[in-house]
Amino acid sequence: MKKILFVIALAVTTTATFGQGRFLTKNGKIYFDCTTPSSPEKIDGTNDKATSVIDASTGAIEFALLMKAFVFEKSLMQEHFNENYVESDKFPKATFKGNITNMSSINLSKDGTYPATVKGQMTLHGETKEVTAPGTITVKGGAITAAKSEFKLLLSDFKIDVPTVVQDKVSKEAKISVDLTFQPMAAK
Amino acid sequence: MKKKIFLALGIMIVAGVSYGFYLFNKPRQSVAKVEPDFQLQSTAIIGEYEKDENSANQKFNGKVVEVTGIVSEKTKDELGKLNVTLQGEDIAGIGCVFEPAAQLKAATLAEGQEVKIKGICTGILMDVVMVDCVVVDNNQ
Repeated sequence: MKKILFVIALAVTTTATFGQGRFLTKNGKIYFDCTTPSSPEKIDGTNDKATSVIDASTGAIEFALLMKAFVFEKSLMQEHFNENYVESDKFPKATFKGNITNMSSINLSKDGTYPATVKGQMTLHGETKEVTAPGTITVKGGAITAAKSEFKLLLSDFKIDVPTVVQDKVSKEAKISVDLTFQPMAAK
Repeated sequence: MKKKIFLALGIMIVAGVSYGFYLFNKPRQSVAKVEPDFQLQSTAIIGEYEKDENSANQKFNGKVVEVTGIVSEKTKDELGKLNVTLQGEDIAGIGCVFEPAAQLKAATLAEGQEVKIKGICTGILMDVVMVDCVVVDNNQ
């Protein structure tokens, strides 16, 4: 009986010490690249204003960004991106809701950068798909301070059409890089 | 006569191609000299998004907006890019990222200061987000 109580007490205290806290960023960086070897120029865009929350106790991660907050070097490319490809007037946001599947192997009491796998539902261009992405989670002083990931998205999975005339100049697969720096979420 | 026609045609084609090339390569424009589509208080635009996000999206997304508000937060990322947040009435604010040429002026902003920022409104997440911003007036 005592043993059971001890185990329960231990479980409660461990979750209390290691499992606390939610971490937030409003300035997450997302970069995408659709350049192919036959593209006449680099086809890429950057978004500096993605919002993301990680709940360290459950490993839940959420993510949202505004399509129009992607900026491009060339104005015409930005216009085409918004009007012809992602239709950002109709679908202003992209979101992701999922979990860090190996949260148990990320030790929040030990500083370091841990490999992580994130799995969940991504909504883009009005289409929702399951996405799994590899990445890293950085822990410092008991807090999650950063997360990074690189993965590929098939444009056709999200019904983003590449017109036939530019078929070999725009990649059918977007390379996405995610770079997030987290702050502990203030309880307001 | 024929020669002249060919010459004229040639000039037109060259002009057309170079204009196309110019359009194709035109860099993203700065909003610094653009008349804003809307001029309003930070609290007013946040209020419109909170009241009815869809109609605010229709009204403001992609438009040049000039907002007046109080700087509640200023942070710098690892690359030195500034993020300035203007205060709203409660949790939601306006998060601004600046065009490269506006970084220096944005760096002079202080928390608590009233400022006018012009940029392209892109919608709302937790905050209303504006990109390619410039500081319009900071001699308050």
